[in-house]
Amino acid sequence: MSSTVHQIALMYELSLTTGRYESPDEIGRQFLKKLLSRKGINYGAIWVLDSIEDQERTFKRLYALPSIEGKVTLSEKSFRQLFQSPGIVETEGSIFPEIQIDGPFSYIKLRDYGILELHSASLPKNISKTSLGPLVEIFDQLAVSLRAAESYQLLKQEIYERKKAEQLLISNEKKYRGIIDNIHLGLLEVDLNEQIQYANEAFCEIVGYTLEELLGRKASEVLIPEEDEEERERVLDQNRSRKEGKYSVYEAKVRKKDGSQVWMVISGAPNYDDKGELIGSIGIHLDISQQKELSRMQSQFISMTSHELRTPLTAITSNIELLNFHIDKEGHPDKDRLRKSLKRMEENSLRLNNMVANILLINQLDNKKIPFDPEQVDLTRLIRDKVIPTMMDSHKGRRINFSEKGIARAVNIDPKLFIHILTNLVENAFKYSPAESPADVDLVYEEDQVSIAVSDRGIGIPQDQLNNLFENFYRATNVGNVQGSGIGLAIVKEFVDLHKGEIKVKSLLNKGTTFTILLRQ
Amino acid sequence: MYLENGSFKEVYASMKPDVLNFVLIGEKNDIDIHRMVDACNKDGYQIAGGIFPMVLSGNGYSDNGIIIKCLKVSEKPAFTHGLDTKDFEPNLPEGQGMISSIILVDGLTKNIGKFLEGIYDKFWNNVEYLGGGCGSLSLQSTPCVFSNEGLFQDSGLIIPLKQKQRVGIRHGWEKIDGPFIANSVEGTVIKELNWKPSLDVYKEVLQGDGVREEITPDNFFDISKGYPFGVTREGLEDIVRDPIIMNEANELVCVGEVANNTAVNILKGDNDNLIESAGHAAEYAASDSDFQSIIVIDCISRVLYLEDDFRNELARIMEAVRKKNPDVVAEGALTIGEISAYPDGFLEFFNKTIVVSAISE
Repeated sequence: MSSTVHQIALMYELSLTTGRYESPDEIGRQFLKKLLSRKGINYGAIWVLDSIEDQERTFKRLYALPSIEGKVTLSEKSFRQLFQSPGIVETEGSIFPEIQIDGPFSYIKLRDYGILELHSASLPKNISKTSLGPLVEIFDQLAVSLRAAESYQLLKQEIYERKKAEQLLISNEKKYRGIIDNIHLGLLEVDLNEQIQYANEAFCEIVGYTLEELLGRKASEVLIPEEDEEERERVLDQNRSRKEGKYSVYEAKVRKKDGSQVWMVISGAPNYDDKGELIGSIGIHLDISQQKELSRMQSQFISMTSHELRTPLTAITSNIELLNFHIDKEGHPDKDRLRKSLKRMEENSLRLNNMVANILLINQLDNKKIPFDPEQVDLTRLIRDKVIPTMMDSHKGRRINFSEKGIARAVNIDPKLFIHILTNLVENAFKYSPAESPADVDLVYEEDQVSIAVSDRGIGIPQDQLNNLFENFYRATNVGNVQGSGIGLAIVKEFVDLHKGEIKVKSLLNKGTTFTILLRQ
Repeated sequence: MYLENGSFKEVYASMKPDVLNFVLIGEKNDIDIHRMVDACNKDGYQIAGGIFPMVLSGNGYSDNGIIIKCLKVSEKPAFTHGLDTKDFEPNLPEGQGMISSIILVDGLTKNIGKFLEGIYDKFWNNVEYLGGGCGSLSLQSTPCVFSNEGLFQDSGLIIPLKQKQRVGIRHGWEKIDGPFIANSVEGTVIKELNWKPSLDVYKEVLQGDGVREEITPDNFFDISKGYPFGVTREGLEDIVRDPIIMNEANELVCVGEVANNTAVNILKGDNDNLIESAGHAAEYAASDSDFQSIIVIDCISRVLYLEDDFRNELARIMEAVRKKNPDVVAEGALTIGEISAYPDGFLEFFNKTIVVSAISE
C-alpha cells in the first residue's frame, strides 16, 4: 500500500516537472534529476534527435547526469528493432557505441523527440520494466512537454526578435527624428497626393508655419508661389519623378507664410514603407537665399566692373592706333623704338580686353545667361571658312593642318559658341608650341558621333594636372612665361557641356597635346 | 589529532609540511584563524578546514576542541564563493589524480544543492565524497570555511584527495506518516503540505503521535528535532530534512533545500535505532581493514536529540572501528548538514545523518 502511494506521489512529482518550465533544457534537468534521485539511480540522459542520414540516427544531448559531451549515434535498423513496440527497452550495455559504461540500461522512446536513457549498476531493479512501467504515461507526457517547450521557446524567440526589431525601429526613428530636428536642414515628408505628413522644426522655422498648420495640406499649394507658373510646373515635375522612384537635387523658390520667398536647394527622394511600397517623397531643404543674394551681387559686380574696364581699354586701343598713324606720318626720328613700345601696349591691352571678355563670359555661364541656339551647321565649312582664316590672320606665319574623315553631314551646334571653342583650342595650340610648329585640326564623322581633335607639338601638360585643366583660373605648372589667365579652357568646357558633348585631353610632356571634342549626333 | 581548547601555538606546532593540514574547529574555540592562515602562507603550509558547532574524537565531543588531520591532496583545494547568489558557477578542481574528495560548505547558505550538482555533474561517482556543513549552532551566518585563501562565508570548498575513502551513510529515522506533497516551497522553507499550511499538517501528525505540548516558535526545535521530514527514495533510506525554525508566517524552515512538489514523509527517531544505524555506517566504512584514519561527519541535531545517549552513538562507532583497527580513533565534526553519495546515487546534502569515512592510501 505504502509503495503504491509513493509511486503515485512520484508520478505526481514527475508530472509537475514537465509542465512548469518554459525551456526543454530546464524540463529535462528537473525531470531527470528528480527521477534519478527518487529511484536512487546514478546515470540518466535525454537524447534529442538531431538528424537521420545514411540509415543512421544522430542524437544530441539535451541533459545528462553526469554531463556527457558530444553526440551519440544509432543505426536506423537498430532503432526500428528496439522501439518497434511502445514501452521500456532493457539492454545490457548502452545502445549507443559512444557510451562506454557497462551494466544494465533502460530506454524509453520520447515520441519523435528523442530517447530517455537510464543506467544503474547497483540498483538494476529500479530501472526495470516493472519499476518504470507505471511511469510510461509520465514519460509520454515528458515527450509532449519537451516538444511543446521547444515550440514555445521558438515562438518566444521569434516574439523577442520581433520586439527587439520593433524597439530598434522605434529607437532608430527617434534617433533620426532627433538628428533631423536638430540639424539646420528642413525636412518635408509628403504622401502620394502631395499632402504634408511631416515637417521638422528647421523646415517650419524656415517657412514660418507651425507643424500643425502644415500637416495634411497640399505642399505645392502652400509652398510654391502661385503666380510663378513656370516654377510650380518645375517643382511638380520633380515630384512626379519621385513616383518613378527617382532621386534629384534642384533649386526652387519657396513661399513663406508671410508671403516672402526663400531660395532652397532641395534633395528629393521617394519614400517607401516597410513593405517596399511607395508612399510619397521626402525632401531635404537647404535655405540658400543668402548665397543666391551674394551670387547675384557678385555677378552684378563682375558685370559692372568688366564693362567699366572695357570703356578705358577701348580708348587706350584707339589712341595706340592714332599714335601709330602719327609716327608713320610725321616720321619721328626714334620711330622704331616708339613703335616697339606701342606694339607691347597694343598686345597687353588686347590681352586685358580678352580677359575681361572671358570673365564676362564665365559670369554669364554661372548665371546661365549665355544664349545657346543650336542649328544644323556644316562643320567642315565652318572650320574651313571661319576658324582657320581667323586664326591664320591673327597668327601670321603659323600653319593649320586640317583633315576630314567620314561622310560629312550637318551637325546640330551653336555656330558662335563652336567658333569660340575651336579658336580657343587652336590659340592654345599655337601658344604652347614652337613658332614654326603647326596646329592640326582633324574632323571625323562617325556613325553616331562627330569628333574634332586639335593637336599641337608643344610643351605638353603634366599628367597629374590634366584633371584640373578645365577649372577656372587653373594653369599648368610648366607654362613658363607664356601669358594666359586660365579661364579659356573653363569656358570651352562649359560651351561643350551646353552641347551635351564631351571634351577629352591627352598629353605627353615636350611632345604635344590633343584636345578632342565628341558630339553625339 | 585532537586538541582540547587548542591554542594557536599548539595547533601550529602540530602542522606538517608537504601534506594538507585539515583542521576542524569547535565554534567556542577562540583561535585567530586569520593569523593561522597568514602563518601557514608564510611558511608554505597547506591548510583547509571549517568551524563547526562541535568536534568529536573517540567517545568524546566538544565545542572548543580542535581536530587536525594530515591529508594527501592531488591538487590545491578549490573555493566557490557567493553561493547565496543565484548565478554563481561552481569552481571545480581539475580532477587529475583525484580519487576522493572532502567537501565543506557554509551550512547556513543557500543553493547548496546547485553547488553539489555542479560537482557531481563533473566527477559523477568516479570519486568518493565526504563532507559537511560548517557554521554555528546559533544559526547566525558567519565566516566558517577556510583555506590558504582565507576565511569565508557563503562559500564551498572542494579538497581533492589522492587517498581512497570508503563511506558509510545511515540515519535510522523512520516514517510515521506520509507522503505529503510539499506543494509550496521556497528554498528551505516549506509553506504548504498537501495544499494546507505546513505547520497545521505537521502539528496534526505530531499530535497523532502523542505530542501534547502546544508548538510555539520558542519550543519548536525542542519538539521538531525528534520529527524530521524524509524525502522518499526507492530502495534507499529517505533523505532527511531537519525543520529547525518556525518562522513568523508559521512556515517550517529546514536545513537544506526541498524541491517544490516533493513527496515527503514525517519521520520519528528511536534512540536505539539511531545509535545502531551509526554503528552500521561505521561498519560499512571500516569493512576494508587497511584504513589509516576514520573521519566522522555527524549531525549536530543528533546530539541535541540523543542528548546523553549521543556518547553511546560515538561508542558504537568506535566499537565498529576498533574491531577492524584498534589503533585508529574516529575523529570528526558535528555539522549543520552532511554531504556524501550512496554507492550508486546522487551527491546529496543530508540532515540528521551520520557519514563515516575510512581513509586509506
